[in-house]
Amino acid sequence: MRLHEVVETVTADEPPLGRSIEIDEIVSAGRRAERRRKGGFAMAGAAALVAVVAGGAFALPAHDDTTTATTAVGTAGPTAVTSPPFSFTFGAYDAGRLHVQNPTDVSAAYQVATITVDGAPSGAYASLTVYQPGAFNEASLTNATTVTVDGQAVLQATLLADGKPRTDADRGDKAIAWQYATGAWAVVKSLSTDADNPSFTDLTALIAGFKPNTSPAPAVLPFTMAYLPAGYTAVDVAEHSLPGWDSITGSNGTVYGGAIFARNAPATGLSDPYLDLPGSFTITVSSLAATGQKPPPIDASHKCTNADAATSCTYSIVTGTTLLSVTGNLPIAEKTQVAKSIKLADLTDETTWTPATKLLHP
Amino acid sequence: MASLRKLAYLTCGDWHAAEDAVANALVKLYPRWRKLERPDLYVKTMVYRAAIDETRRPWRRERSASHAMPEIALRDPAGATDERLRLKAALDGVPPRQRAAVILRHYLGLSLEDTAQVLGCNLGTAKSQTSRGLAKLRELMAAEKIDLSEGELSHAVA
Repeated sequence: MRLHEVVETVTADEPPLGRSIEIDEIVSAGRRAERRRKGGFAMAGAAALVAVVAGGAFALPAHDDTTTATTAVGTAGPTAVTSPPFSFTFGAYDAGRLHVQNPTDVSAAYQVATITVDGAPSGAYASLTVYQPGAFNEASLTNATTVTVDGQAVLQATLLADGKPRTDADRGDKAIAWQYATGAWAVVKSLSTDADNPSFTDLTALIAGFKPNTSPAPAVLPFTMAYLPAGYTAVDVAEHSLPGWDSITGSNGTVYGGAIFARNAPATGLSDPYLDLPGSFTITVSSLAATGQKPPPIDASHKCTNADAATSCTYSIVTGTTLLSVTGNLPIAEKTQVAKSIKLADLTDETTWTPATKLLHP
Repeated sequence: MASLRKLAYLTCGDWHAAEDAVANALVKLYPRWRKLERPDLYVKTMVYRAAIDETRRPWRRERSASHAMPEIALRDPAGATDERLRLKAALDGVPPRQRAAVILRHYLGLSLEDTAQVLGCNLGTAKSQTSRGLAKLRELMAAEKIDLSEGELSHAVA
């Protein structure tokens, strides 16, 4: 018997491809990974850029443990004021054919809201990230030019892939940034295959409509946890979306919430929301039912689904159609302990969800 | 795609784990595509490593009977299933790294240099892994009264 015959005989019971290998999903996931890389997430920008200070019409509350929010209104260099941690301080609004959604992700350094665009190409998405003063590294927009929109200085830039010219597929990737308060930037990033859809004009229309809420809304999560590894704290929480950078892709109703935990998280010099923070781990609670996904393909209820090294694999618990995942750079024993200490709220009743500041319940 | 999944399956012995390994490897391949001189080798390397990782995980060995469908006994007059199980047992008896070397070299037809690159070792190690894998496979198949043909393997350890 030849080796080919051996292999063909042994693999004769090959099952049909299951849920994992779908070319579209792979390309989509790959493009997403590429965009993450392209987004830079480098803490230091490669090129210097003139930072333009513009007087905004208001200030977004900054986070503080002790004080409540107020809104500072002024025309000359407003300063940020304070609000409770992990709270959302602006809400949904419309600007032409762009629709800013309620923010879903918040850290001490930023808040993120997705933007829907009427008539955008398939697969396009956009986001508004509102940074606290000093958090955003405007030099990360390496090829930005400064324009003036209604007296407001605005940076606008096309997004490069590792500093190289964009491919045809990415020719619509662009960003604008403006200071809504002294040193505090709001950044809109749009990823699209169409160079002019949405256009810079579409994006800059968002500036005028941006207003802070008078009363911040605390982020709530659909779980509590009894165990947190020593030294870790929640650094980014998401309500109805994945946490961190992933929040900009939205959740399509499949994600209930999640949080990133780390020992240290940078509060300044950011170019994007947190992604792959060193030594961090992430908890997400999502629905398998909404997308018709199959549970992870293993007989046991607990498993690592990721084929990376054991320390970065995902520990998952499937309960009915709910998937609880703990992923990231944490030893599997710790990951298991974290997962098993988590208590889910009633996922259909947000009144049972827990404010992000009270996640830890021994 | 099918050959990659077979490589993963023959390395880790589980179709589901193999599928995971291939999907993850392809996702990682996409953003790196333009930077790779040999994406074909890169993806084989990723699949091989992922499949090896899967074999090391204790939870991959967990089996729950609670959700299993009852198996239905079927006739197997030609003994095909029996032969497949015997061959599978023989292949599984070859250490994973040696098994991967044999599959890469003689089933997927990679050169010795490419096999070494996928395995992440030098040429000499790839050669010895292939040689030992073949010897072990031949020994295990002989115990099952199956003869592994020399024909296509004559260049095996060259």
